[in-house]
Amino acid sequence: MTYLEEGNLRIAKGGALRCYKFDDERQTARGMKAVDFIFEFDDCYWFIEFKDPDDPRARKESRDKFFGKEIDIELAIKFRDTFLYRWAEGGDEAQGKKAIRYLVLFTGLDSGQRIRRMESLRNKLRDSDCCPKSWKNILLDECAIFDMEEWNKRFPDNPVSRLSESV
Amino acid sequence: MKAIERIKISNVAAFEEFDCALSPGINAFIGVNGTGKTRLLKLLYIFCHWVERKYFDTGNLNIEYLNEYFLPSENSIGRLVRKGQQDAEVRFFIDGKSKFMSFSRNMTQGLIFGGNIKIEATIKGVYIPSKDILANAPGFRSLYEKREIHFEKVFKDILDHAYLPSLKNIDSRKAMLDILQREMGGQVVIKGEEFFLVTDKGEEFEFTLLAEGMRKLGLLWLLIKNGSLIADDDNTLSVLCWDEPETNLNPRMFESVVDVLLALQRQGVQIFLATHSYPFLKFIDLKRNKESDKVLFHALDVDTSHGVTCESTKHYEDLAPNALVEAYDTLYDYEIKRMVGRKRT
Repeated sequence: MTYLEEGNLRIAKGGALRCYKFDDERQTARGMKAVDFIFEFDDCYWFIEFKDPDDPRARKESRDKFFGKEIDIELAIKFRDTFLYRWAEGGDEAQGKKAIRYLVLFTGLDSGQRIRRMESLRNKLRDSDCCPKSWKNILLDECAIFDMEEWNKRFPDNPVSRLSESV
Repeated sequence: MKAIERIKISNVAAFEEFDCALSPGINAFIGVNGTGKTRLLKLLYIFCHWVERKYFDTGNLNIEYLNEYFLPSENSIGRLVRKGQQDAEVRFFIDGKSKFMSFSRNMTQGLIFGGNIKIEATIKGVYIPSKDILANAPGFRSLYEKREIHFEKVFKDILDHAYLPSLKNIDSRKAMLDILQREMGGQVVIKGEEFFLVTDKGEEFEFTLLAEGMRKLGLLWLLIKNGSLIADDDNTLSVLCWDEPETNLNPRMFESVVDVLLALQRQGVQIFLATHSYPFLKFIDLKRNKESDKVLFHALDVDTSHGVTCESTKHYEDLAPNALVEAYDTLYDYEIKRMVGRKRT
Protein backbone atom coordinates (compact mmCIF):
# COMPACT_ATOMS: atom_id res chain seq x y z
CA MET A 1 0.00 0.00 0.00
CA THR A 2 1.27 3.47 -0.90
CA TYR A 3 1.03 6.22 1.69
CA LEU A 4 1.60 9.96 1.68
CA GLU A 5 2.65 11.73 4.87
CA GLU A 6 2.13 15.15 6.37
CA GLY A 7 3.16 15.99 9.93
CA ASN A 8 2.15 13.13 12.17
CA LEU A 9 -0.49 11.79 9.75
CA ARG A 10 -0.46 9.56 6.72
CA ILE A 11 -3.09 8.76 4.10
CA ALA A 12 -3.39 5.65 1.93
CA LYS A 13 -3.52 5.95 -1.85
CA GLY A 14 -6.26 3.29 -2.02
CA GLY A 15 -8.06 3.23 -5.35
CA ALA A 16 -6.78 6.62 -6.54
CA LEU A 17 -5.40 6.70 -10.12
CA ARG A 18 -2.74 9.15 -9.00
CA CYS A 19 -1.85 10.98 -5.84
CA TYR A 20 0.93 13.34 -4.87
CA LYS A 21 2.05 15.71 -2.22
CA PHE A 22 1.51 19.06 -3.85
CA ASP A 23 4.21 21.02 -2.02
CA ASP A 24 6.94 18.50 -2.82
CA GLU A 25 6.50 18.53 -6.58
CA ARG A 26 6.27 22.26 -7.24
CA GLN A 27 8.51 25.21 -7.40
CA THR A 28 7.50 27.97 -5.04
CA ALA A 29 5.35 30.74 -6.45
CA ARG A 30 5.90 33.65 -4.12
CA GLY A 31 2.93 34.49 -1.92
CA MET A 32 0.89 31.47 -2.98
CA LYS A 33 -0.25 28.88 -0.50
CA ALA A 34 -0.91 25.21 -1.22
CA VAL A 35 -2.97 22.25 -0.01
CA ASP A 36 -1.15 19.14 1.20
CA PHE A 37 -2.23 16.54 -1.41
CA ILE A 38 -4.07 16.07 -4.69
CA PHE A 39 -5.70 12.70 -5.45
CA GLU A 40 -7.20 11.80 -8.81
CA PHE A 41 -10.05 9.28 -9.16
CA ASP A 42 -12.12 8.14 -12.17
CA ASP A 43 -14.74 10.79 -11.67
CA CYS A 44 -13.19 13.46 -9.45
CA TYR A 45 -10.18 15.13 -7.89
CA TRP A 46 -9.66 15.52 -4.17
CA PHE A 47 -7.72 18.50 -2.91
CA ILE A 48 -6.76 17.51 0.64
CA GLU A 49 -5.58 19.59 3.57
CA PHE A 50 -4.67 18.27 7.04
CA LYS A 51 -5.05 20.37 10.19
CA ASP A 52 -4.04 18.43 13.25
CA PRO A 53 -4.24 20.34 16.55
CA ASP A 54 -4.80 16.97 18.25
CA ASP A 55 -1.29 15.84 17.33
CA PRO A 56 0.11 14.67 20.67
CA ARG A 57 3.52 15.93 19.56
CA ALA A 58 2.25 19.50 18.98
CA ARG A 59 3.08 22.16 21.56
CA LYS A 60 0.24 24.15 23.09
CA GLU A 61 1.38 27.43 21.51
CA SER A 62 1.39 25.89 18.06
CA ARG A 63 -2.09 24.44 18.69
CA ASP A 64 -3.57 27.87 19.29
CA LYS A 65 -2.95 28.87 15.68
CA PHE A 66 -5.57 26.36 14.55
CA PHE A 67 -8.38 28.30 16.17
CA GLY A 68 -9.86 31.71 15.40
CA LYS A 69 -11.39 33.27 12.32
CA GLU A 70 -8.13 33.36 10.34
CA ILE A 71 -8.10 29.59 9.91
CA ASP A 72 -11.17 29.64 7.63
CA ILE A 73 -9.49 32.22 5.40
CA GLU A 74 -6.27 30.23 5.35
CA LEU A 75 -8.12 27.05 4.31
CA ALA A 76 -9.92 28.92 1.53
CA ILE A 77 -6.72 30.56 0.26
CA LYS A 78 -4.87 27.23 0.21
CA PHE A 79 -7.47 25.73 -2.09
CA ARG A 80 -7.79 28.83 -4.27
CA ASP A 81 -4.03 29.19 -4.79
CA THR A 82 -3.53 25.49 -5.54
CA PHE A 83 -6.32 25.55 -8.11
CA LEU A 84 -4.92 28.69 -9.76
CA TYR A 85 -1.43 27.20 -9.76
CA ARG A 86 -2.67 24.10 -11.55
CA TRP A 87 -4.70 26.24 -13.97
CA ALA A 88 -1.59 28.27 -14.81
CA GLU A 89 0.35 25.04 -15.33
CA GLY A 90 -2.35 23.81 -17.68
CA GLY A 91 -3.10 20.94 -15.30
CA ASP A 92 -6.03 18.57 -15.86
CA GLU A 93 -7.62 19.51 -12.55
CA ALA A 94 -8.41 22.99 -13.84
CA GLN A 95 -9.98 21.90 -17.15
CA GLY A 96 -13.44 21.24 -15.73
CA LYS A 97 -13.48 17.57 -16.82
CA LYS A 98 -13.98 16.06 -13.40
CA ALA A 99 -15.60 17.20 -10.18
CA ILE A 100 -13.33 18.85 -7.63
CA ARG A 101 -13.75 18.17 -3.93
CA TYR A 102 -11.87 20.00 -1.24
CA LEU A 103 -11.61 17.71 1.77
CA VAL A 104 -10.17 18.99 5.03
CA LEU A 105 -9.23 16.66 7.83
CA PHE A 106 -9.39 18.78 10.99
CA THR A 107 -8.84 17.01 14.31
CA GLY A 108 -10.04 18.28 17.68
CA LEU A 109 -13.40 19.75 16.59
CA ASP A 110 -16.81 18.40 17.60
CA SER A 111 -19.63 18.08 15.07
CA GLY A 112 -21.08 21.51 15.91
CA GLN A 113 -17.76 23.21 15.32
CA ARG A 114 -17.17 21.25 12.10
CA ILE A 115 -20.54 22.36 10.73
CA ARG A 116 -19.77 25.99 11.50
CA ARG A 117 -16.26 25.78 9.99
CA MET A 118 -17.69 24.07 6.91
CA GLU A 119 -20.33 26.77 6.38
CA SER A 120 -17.69 29.44 6.77
CA LEU A 121 -15.27 27.71 4.36
CA ARG A 122 -17.99 27.24 1.75
CA ASN A 123 -18.90 30.89 2.06
CA LYS A 124 -15.27 31.99 1.67
CA LEU A 125 -14.88 29.86 -1.47
CA ARG A 126 -18.02 31.11 -3.18
CA ASP A 127 -18.52 34.75 -2.44
CA SER A 128 -16.05 36.63 -0.29
CA ASP A 129 -12.88 38.66 -0.39
CA CYS A 130 -11.06 35.34 -1.06
CA CYS A 131 -13.16 34.50 -4.13
CA PRO A 132 -15.10 37.61 -5.20
CA LYS A 133 -18.63 37.59 -6.52
CA SER A 134 -17.47 38.76 -9.96
CA TRP A 135 -15.72 35.39 -10.59
CA LYS A 136 -18.13 33.69 -12.95
CA ASN A 137 -16.39 30.31 -12.88
CA ILE A 138 -16.91 28.29 -9.72
CA LEU A 139 -13.65 26.71 -8.60
CA LEU A 140 -14.96 23.60 -6.90
CA ASP A 141 -17.94 21.30 -6.55
CA GLU A 142 -17.85 20.40 -2.86
CA CYS A 143 -15.96 21.09 0.31
CA ALA A 144 -16.23 19.28 3.62
CA ILE A 145 -14.46 19.02 6.96
CA PHE A 146 -13.94 15.72 8.77
CA ASP A 147 -12.36 14.45 11.93
CA MET A 148 -10.29 11.29 11.65
CA GLU A 149 -13.07 8.91 12.70
CA GLU A 150 -15.52 10.41 10.23
CA TRP A 151 -12.92 10.41 7.44
CA ASN A 152 -12.14 6.74 7.92
CA LYS A 153 -15.84 5.89 8.01
CA ARG A 154 -16.54 7.77 4.77
CA PHE A 155 -13.38 6.82 2.92
CA PRO A 156 -12.39 3.31 4.01
CA ASP A 157 -10.17 2.91 0.89
CA ASN A 158 -8.11 5.94 1.84
CA PRO A 159 -7.71 5.65 5.60
CA VAL A 160 -5.79 8.22 7.61
CA SER A 161 -3.71 7.19 10.60
CA ARG A 162 -1.13 8.64 12.98
CA LEU A 163 2.49 7.92 12.24
CA SER A 164 3.32 7.94 15.95
CA GLU A 165 0.73 5.20 16.54
CA SER A 166 1.51 2.98 13.54
CA VAL A 167 3.62 -0.08 14.14
CA MET B 1 -18.64 27.72 52.22
CA LYS B 2 -21.43 25.21 52.51
CA ALA B 3 -23.25 23.70 49.54
CA ILE B 4 -25.90 21.13 48.71
CA GLU B 5 -23.69 18.09 48.33
CA ARG B 6 -26.07 15.49 46.99
CA ILE B 7 -29.69 14.79 46.10
CA LYS B 8 -31.38 11.39 46.22
CA ILE B 9 -34.86 10.92 44.79
CA SER B 10 -36.91 7.77 45.22
CA ASN B 11 -40.09 7.13 43.28
CA VAL B 12 -40.93 10.66 42.21
CA ALA B 13 -42.42 10.62 38.68
CA ALA B 14 -39.66 9.47 36.27
CA PHE B 15 -37.14 9.14 39.13
CA GLU B 16 -36.95 5.67 40.68
CA GLU B 17 -33.66 5.48 42.57
CA PHE B 18 -31.81 8.64 41.56
CA ASP B 19 -28.61 9.68 43.26
CA CYS B 20 -26.55 12.63 42.12
CA ALA B 21 -23.48 14.22 43.72
CA LEU B 22 -23.45 17.97 43.13
CA SER B 23 -20.78 20.58 42.56
CA PRO B 24 -20.63 23.51 44.97
CA GLY B 25 -20.26 25.67 41.84
CA ILE B 26 -22.13 25.30 38.55
CA ASN B 27 -24.22 22.18 37.87
CA ALA B 28 -25.44 21.95 34.27
CA PHE B 29 -28.12 19.33 33.62
CA ILE B 30 -28.74 18.16 30.08
CA GLY B 31 -31.06 15.50 28.69
CA VAL B 32 -33.88 15.08 26.20
CA ASN B 33 -37.42 16.18 27.12
CA GLY B 34 -38.97 14.10 29.89
CA THR B 35 -35.75 13.30 31.76
CA GLY B 36 -36.88 15.31 34.81
CA LYS B 37 -34.58 18.35 34.57
CA THR B 38 -37.18 20.96 35.57
CA ARG B 39 -38.56 18.74 38.33
CA LEU B 40 -35.08 18.26 39.72
CA LEU B 41 -34.42 22.01 39.71
CA LYS B 42 -37.75 22.65 41.43
CA LEU B 43 -37.06 20.08 44.14
CA LEU B 44 -33.67 21.66 44.82
CA TYR B 45 -35.27 25.08 44.98
CA ILE B 46 -38.10 23.93 47.26
CA PHE B 47 -35.49 22.50 49.63
CA CYS B 48 -33.68 25.86 49.74
CA HIS B 49 -36.95 27.71 50.22
CA TRP B 50 -37.97 25.45 53.10
CA VAL B 51 -34.60 25.73 54.82
CA GLU B 52 -34.76 29.51 54.45
CA ARG B 53 -38.21 29.56 56.03
CA LYS B 54 -37.20 26.99 58.65
CA TYR B 55 -40.11 24.70 57.69
CA PHE B 56 -37.96 21.65 58.42
CA ASP B 57 -37.20 22.86 61.95
CA THR B 58 -40.85 23.25 62.90
CA GLY B 59 -41.76 19.88 61.37
CA ASN B 60 -44.82 21.50 59.80
CA LEU B 61 -44.36 20.47 56.24
CA ASN B 62 -47.81 21.12 54.91
CA ILE B 63 -48.64 19.25 51.74
CA GLU B 64 -49.72 22.58 50.27
CA TYR B 65 -46.10 23.67 50.23
CA LEU B 66 -45.41 21.06 47.55
CA ASN B 67 -48.71 21.35 45.69
CA GLU B 68 -48.24 25.03 44.99
CA TYR B 69 -45.03 24.34 43.09
CA PHE B 70 -46.22 21.36 41.05
CA LEU B 71 -49.98 22.00 40.72
CA PRO B 72 -51.03 18.35 40.44
CA SER B 73 -54.64 17.85 39.41
CA GLU B 74 -57.08 18.12 42.35
CA ASN B 75 -54.12 19.08 44.55
CA SER B 76 -53.25 15.41 44.83
CA ILE B 77 -49.50 15.29 45.43
CA GLY B 78 -49.77 11.49 45.23
CA ARG B 79 -49.87 11.96 41.45
CA LEU B 80 -46.16 12.70 41.65
CA VAL B 81 -45.44 9.23 43.06
CA ARG B 82 -43.93 6.91 40.46
CA LYS B 83 -46.35 4.52 38.79
CA GLY B 84 -46.66 1.24 40.67
CA GLN B 85 -45.05 2.68 43.82
CA GLN B 86 -46.68 3.85 47.07
CA ASP B 87 -44.16 6.15 48.75
CA ALA B 88 -41.85 8.80 47.43
CA GLU B 89 -38.88 10.41 49.15
CA VAL B 90 -36.47 13.19 48.32
CA ARG B 91 -33.32 13.52 50.39
CA PHE B 92 -30.92 16.45 50.37
CA PHE B 93 -27.42 16.36 51.80
CA ILE B 94 -25.78 19.49 53.15
CA ASP B 95 -22.94 19.99 55.55
CA GLY B 96 -22.64 16.21 55.98
CA LYS B 97 -26.27 15.89 57.14
CA SER B 98 -29.42 15.03 55.28
CA LYS B 99 -32.96 16.36 55.24
CA PHE B 100 -35.79 14.58 53.52
CA MET B 101 -39.40 14.97 52.49
CA SER B 102 -41.61 12.02 51.84
CA PHE B 103 -45.18 11.60 50.69
CA SER B 104 -47.50 8.82 49.59
CA ARG B 105 -49.70 7.98 46.64
CA ASN B 106 -52.95 8.29 48.60
CA MET B 107 -52.17 11.63 50.26
CA THR B 108 -54.50 14.46 49.45
CA GLN B 109 -54.03 16.66 52.52
CA GLY B 110 -52.18 17.05 55.79
CA LEU B 111 -48.50 17.02 56.60
CA ILE B 112 -45.73 15.30 54.75
CA PHE B 113 -42.80 13.89 56.64
CA GLY B 114 -39.53 15.70 56.89
CA GLY B 115 -36.13 15.04 58.40
CA ASN B 116 -35.62 16.77 61.73
CA ILE B 117 -31.85 17.14 61.78
CA LYS B 118 -31.03 20.76 62.29
CA ILE B 119 -29.03 22.37 59.53
CA GLU B 120 -26.93 25.23 60.82
CA ALA B 121 -26.65 27.00 57.47
CA THR B 122 -29.18 29.36 56.03
CA ILE B 123 -29.99 29.13 52.35
CA LYS B 124 -31.33 31.83 50.10
CA GLY B 125 -32.68 30.23 46.99
CA VAL B 126 -33.79 31.78 43.70
CA TYR B 127 -35.61 29.94 40.92
CA ILE B 128 -35.82 31.58 37.49
CA PRO B 129 -38.55 29.88 35.42
CA SER B 130 -38.06 29.45 31.68
CA LYS B 131 -41.03 31.75 30.99
CA ASP B 132 -40.89 35.45 31.81
CA ILE B 133 -43.35 36.92 34.33
CA LEU B 134 -41.89 40.41 34.78
CA ALA B 135 -43.85 41.87 31.86
CA ASN B 136 -47.07 40.64 33.50
CA ALA B 137 -46.03 41.62 37.00
CA PRO B 138 -48.37 44.54 37.86
CA GLY B 139 -51.15 43.14 40.02
CA PHE B 140 -49.90 39.55 39.75
CA ARG B 141 -48.86 39.06 43.37
CA SER B 142 -52.09 40.40 44.88
CA LEU B 143 -54.08 38.34 42.38
CA TYR B 144 -52.05 35.27 43.38
CA GLU B 145 -52.67 35.89 47.11
CA LYS B 146 -56.44 36.47 46.80
CA ARG B 147 -57.61 34.21 44.00
CA GLU B 148 -57.29 30.62 42.87
CA ILE B 149 -55.19 31.07 39.75
CA HIS B 150 -53.36 28.22 38.11
CA PHE B 151 -49.83 29.57 38.28
CA GLU B 152 -46.97 27.74 39.94
CA LYS B 153 -45.62 29.55 42.99
CA VAL B 154 -42.21 29.98 41.36
CA PHE B 155 -43.69 32.94 39.45
CA LYS B 156 -44.81 34.65 42.63
CA ASP B 157 -41.50 33.90 44.34
CA ILE B 158 -39.38 35.33 41.54
CA LEU B 159 -41.42 38.54 41.61
CA ASP B 160 -40.89 38.76 45.39
CA HIS B 161 -37.16 38.67 44.68
CA ALA B 162 -37.30 41.06 41.73
CA TYR B 163 -39.16 43.75 43.69
CA LEU B 164 -36.60 43.88 46.52
CA PRO B 165 -34.90 47.28 46.80
CA SER B 166 -31.26 47.61 45.79
CA LEU B 167 -28.42 46.98 48.21
CA LYS B 168 -26.63 50.09 49.42
CA ASN B 169 -23.18 48.73 48.71
CA ILE B 170 -22.80 47.04 45.34
CA ASP B 171 -19.04 47.42 44.84
CA SER B 172 -18.32 43.68 44.76
CA ARG B 173 -21.14 43.17 42.23
CA LYS B 174 -20.28 46.01 39.90
CA ALA B 175 -18.30 43.98 37.34
CA MET B 176 -21.22 41.58 36.85
CA LEU B 177 -23.77 44.37 36.67
CA ASP B 178 -21.63 46.17 34.08
CA ILE B 179 -21.56 43.09 31.81
CA LEU B 180 -25.37 42.92 31.86
CA GLN B 181 -25.80 46.68 31.47
CA ARG B 182 -23.60 46.60 28.39
CA GLU B 183 -25.81 43.91 26.85
CA MET B 184 -29.04 45.70 27.78
CA GLY B 185 -27.76 49.17 26.92
CA GLY B 186 -29.20 50.50 30.15
CA GLN B 187 -30.54 49.72 33.63
CA VAL B 188 -33.80 48.46 35.07
CA VAL B 189 -36.00 50.70 37.22
CA ILE B 190 -39.22 49.80 39.01
CA LYS B 191 -42.12 52.24 39.16
CA GLY B 192 -45.03 51.05 41.24
CA GLU B 193 -45.23 47.44 40.12
CA GLU B 194 -44.00 48.05 36.58
CA PHE B 195 -40.51 47.25 35.30
CA PHE B 196 -38.78 49.58 32.82
CA LEU B 197 -35.49 49.55 30.98
CA VAL B 198 -33.94 52.99 31.02
CA THR B 199 -31.37 53.12 28.23
CA ASP B 200 -28.03 54.90 28.40
CA LYS B 201 -29.62 57.59 26.20
CA GLY B 202 -32.35 58.13 28.77
CA GLU B 203 -35.18 56.43 26.86
CA GLU B 204 -37.67 54.37 28.88
CA PHE B 205 -39.15 51.08 27.73
CA GLU B 206 -41.76 49.25 29.76
CA PHE B 207 -41.06 45.50 29.93
CA THR B 208 -44.18 44.66 27.89
CA LEU B 209 -42.53 46.43 24.94
CA LEU B 210 -39.14 44.83 25.49
CA ALA B 211 -37.78 41.63 23.90
CA GLU B 212 -38.13 38.67 26.24
CA GLY B 213 -34.39 38.02 26.16
CA MET B 214 -33.77 41.56 27.43
CA ARG B 215 -36.25 41.03 30.26
CA LYS B 216 -34.28 37.97 31.24
CA LEU B 217 -31.03 39.93 31.44
CA GLY B 218 -32.90 42.62 33.37
CA LEU B 219 -34.12 40.08 35.90
CA LEU B 220 -30.62 38.70 36.47
CA TRP B 221 -29.33 42.26 36.87
CA LEU B 222 -32.00 42.98 39.52
CA LEU B 223 -31.29 39.77 41.43
CA ILE B 224 -27.58 40.61 41.65
CA LYS B 225 -28.17 44.26 42.51
CA ASN B 226 -30.72 43.64 45.24
CA GLY B 227 -28.79 40.86 46.96
CA SER B 228 -31.14 37.97 46.10
CA LEU B 229 -27.98 36.33 44.80
CA ILE B 230 -24.60 36.05 46.59
CA ALA B 231 -24.47 35.36 50.32
CA ASP B 232 -23.64 38.08 52.84
CA ASP B 233 -21.89 35.78 55.30
CA ASP B 234 -20.14 32.42 55.48
CA ASN B 235 -23.08 30.74 57.16
CA THR B 236 -25.43 31.48 54.29
CA LEU B 237 -25.57 29.57 51.03
CA SER B 238 -26.83 31.36 47.93
CA VAL B 239 -28.47 29.06 45.36
CA LEU B 240 -29.64 29.87 41.85
CA CYS B 241 -31.84 27.40 39.96
CA TRP B 242 -32.31 28.51 36.35
CA ASP B 243 -34.49 26.57 33.95
CA GLU B 244 -33.37 26.97 30.32
CA PRO B 245 -31.40 30.21 30.65
CA GLU B 246 -30.97 30.20 26.87
CA THR B 247 -34.70 30.52 26.09
CA ASN B 248 -35.44 33.71 24.13
CA LEU B 249 -31.83 34.85 24.34
CA ASN B 250 -29.96 35.45 21.11
CA PRO B 251 -26.89 33.17 21.18
CA ARG B 252 -24.69 36.27 20.93
CA MET B 253 -25.69 37.07 24.51
CA PHE B 254 -24.77 33.63 25.84
CA GLU B 255 -21.16 34.59 26.44
CA SER B 256 -22.09 37.51 28.70
CA VAL B 257 -24.61 35.43 30.66
CA VAL B 258 -22.05 32.65 31.09
CA ASP B 259 -19.44 35.22 32.23
CA VAL B 260 -21.89 36.39 34.90
CA LEU B 261 -22.72 32.84 35.99
CA LEU B 262 -19.02 31.98 36.31
CA ALA B 263 -18.48 35.18 38.32
CA LEU B 264 -21.42 34.29 40.61
CA GLN B 265 -19.94 30.86 41.12
CA ARG B 266 -16.61 32.46 42.07
CA GLN B 267 -18.49 34.42 44.74
CA GLY B 268 -19.84 31.19 46.22
CA VAL B 269 -23.24 30.92 44.54
CA GLN B 270 -24.27 27.32 43.90
CA ILE B 271 -25.92 27.17 40.50
CA PHE B 272 -28.25 24.59 38.95
CA LEU B 273 -29.04 24.95 35.25
CA ALA B 274 -31.14 22.88 32.91
CA THR B 275 -30.29 23.55 29.30
CA HIS B 276 -31.01 22.36 25.76
CA SER B 277 -28.41 24.65 24.24
CA TYR B 278 -25.14 23.35 22.87
CA PRO B 279 -23.50 26.80 22.49
CA PHE B 280 -24.56 27.83 26.01
CA LEU B 281 -22.96 24.73 27.50
CA LYS B 282 -19.93 25.09 25.27
CA PHE B 283 -19.38 28.65 26.53
CA ILE B 284 -19.38 27.31 30.09
CA ASP B 285 -16.87 24.67 29.09
CA LEU B 286 -14.55 27.00 27.18
CA LYS B 287 -14.70 30.09 29.39
CA ARG B 288 -14.27 28.48 32.79
CA ASN B 289 -10.91 28.29 34.42
CA LYS B 290 -10.32 24.55 34.39
CA GLU B 291 -8.21 24.66 37.54
CA SER B 292 -10.21 26.93 39.79
CA ASP B 293 -13.83 27.09 38.58
CA LYS B 294 -16.12 24.41 39.93
CA VAL B 295 -18.30 23.00 37.17
CA LEU B 296 -20.06 19.66 36.89
CA PHE B 297 -21.97 18.47 33.83
CA HIS B 298 -24.81 16.01 34.44
CA ALA B 299 -26.30 13.94 31.60
CA LEU B 300 -29.78 12.70 32.46
CA ASP B 301 -31.29 9.77 30.62
CA VAL B 302 -34.38 7.63 31.08
CA ASP B 303 -34.18 3.90 31.38
CA THR B 304 -37.71 2.49 31.15
CA SER B 305 -37.11 -0.08 33.86
CA HIS B 306 -34.94 1.96 36.26
CA GLY B 307 -36.16 5.50 35.69
CA VAL B 308 -33.89 8.52 35.33
CA THR B 309 -30.15 7.89 35.44
CA CYS B 310 -27.39 10.44 35.76
CA GLU B 311 -23.79 10.45 34.54
CA SER B 312 -21.77 13.34 35.93
CA THR B 313 -18.43 14.60 34.69
CA LYS B 314 -16.12 17.56 35.16
CA HIS B 315 -15.13 17.37 31.50
CA TYR B 316 -17.62 18.41 28.84
CA GLU B 317 -16.10 16.08 26.27
CA ASP B 318 -16.84 13.07 28.52
CA LEU B 319 -20.58 13.87 28.71
CA ALA B 320 -22.55 10.82 27.66
CA PRO B 321 -25.18 10.65 26.44
CA ASN B 322 -24.83 14.21 25.16
CA ALA B 323 -28.30 14.99 23.83
CA LEU B 324 -27.15 18.43 22.70
CA VAL B 325 -24.31 17.41 20.44
CA GLU B 326 -26.22 14.40 19.09
CA ALA B 327 -28.44 16.80 17.16
CA TYR B 328 -25.32 18.39 15.66
CA ASP B 329 -23.96 14.94 14.76
CA THR B 330 -27.16 14.30 12.81
CA LEU B 331 -26.96 17.69 11.09
CA TYR B 332 -23.32 17.04 10.24
CA ASP B 333 -24.24 13.68 8.72
CA TYR B 334 -26.84 15.36 6.51
CA GLU B 335 -24.31 18.03 5.48
CA ILE B 336 -21.69 15.47 4.54
CA LYS B 337 -24.19 13.28 2.69
CA ARG B 338 -25.37 16.28 0.71
CA MET B 339 -21.88 17.47 -0.12
CA VAL B 340 -19.93 14.29 -0.70
CA GLY B 341 -22.66 11.99 -1.94
CA ARG B 342 -23.94 14.37 -4.61
CA LYS B 343 -23.47 13.64 -8.29
CA ARG B 344 -22.00 16.40 -10.37
CA THR B 345 -24.62 18.60 -12.03
